[in-house]
Amino acid sequence: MLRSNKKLTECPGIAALYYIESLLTYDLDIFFIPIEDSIDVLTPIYRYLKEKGFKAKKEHVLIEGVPVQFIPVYNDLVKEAVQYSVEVKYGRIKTRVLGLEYLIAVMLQTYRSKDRERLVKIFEEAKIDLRLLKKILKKYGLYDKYVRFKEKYFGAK
Amino acid sequence: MDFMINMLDLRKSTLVQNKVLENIIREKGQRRKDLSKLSFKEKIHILVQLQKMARGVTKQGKAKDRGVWLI
Repeated sequence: MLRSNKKLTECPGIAALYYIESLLTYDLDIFFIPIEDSIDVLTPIYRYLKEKGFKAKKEHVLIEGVPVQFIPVYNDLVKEAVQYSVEVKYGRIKTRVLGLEYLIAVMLQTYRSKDRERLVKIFEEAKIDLRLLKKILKKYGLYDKYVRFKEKYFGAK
Repeated sequence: MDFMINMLDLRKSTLVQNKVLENIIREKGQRRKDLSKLSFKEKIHILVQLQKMARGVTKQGKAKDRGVWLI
């Protein structure tokens, strides 16, 4: 299932770390687009990893000492974000992370306290394509939320 | 008069302090920007160091879910 799926993308925590300075996190979440329409898309993945000798720990699988969680895309924004994810390198290994503007949109949508914290850092440290961001936010009805966020944390529109 | 002089001194010293603070804040911001430009691998390395540092201050009961990555 995973081998044939080309769209595996690291989720907000680690993706944010790609764009800003290191922040403390403890797990690695992976978004993926299931290739089959099925209610239970996770069981085959966890079964496969178990067969390979990786141990499950609550909702995570320990892979090379890193707790990894697989999350199927759960709405249209996340699906599009995964489709437009960008390839990056970890040393010599190729991997994918959410594009910066999509990452911002996903975090604005989830808007947990840690998302807000990371968003503030992103707006302070990263170079953002504001035209693309605006386009994505308007498409998914997040633009007003973005304006409120900017007013609250940066005192500007 | 003494009071006036003291007020002037105080104002000057506040201005100096503000300048110092301004510099500190600017330099901290610059450092964060510099750190954000590190390679992905270097950032993951820093993350693991942060996990090690946080191990000693983790709340009871949370420690089990908050291990240090073995990479």
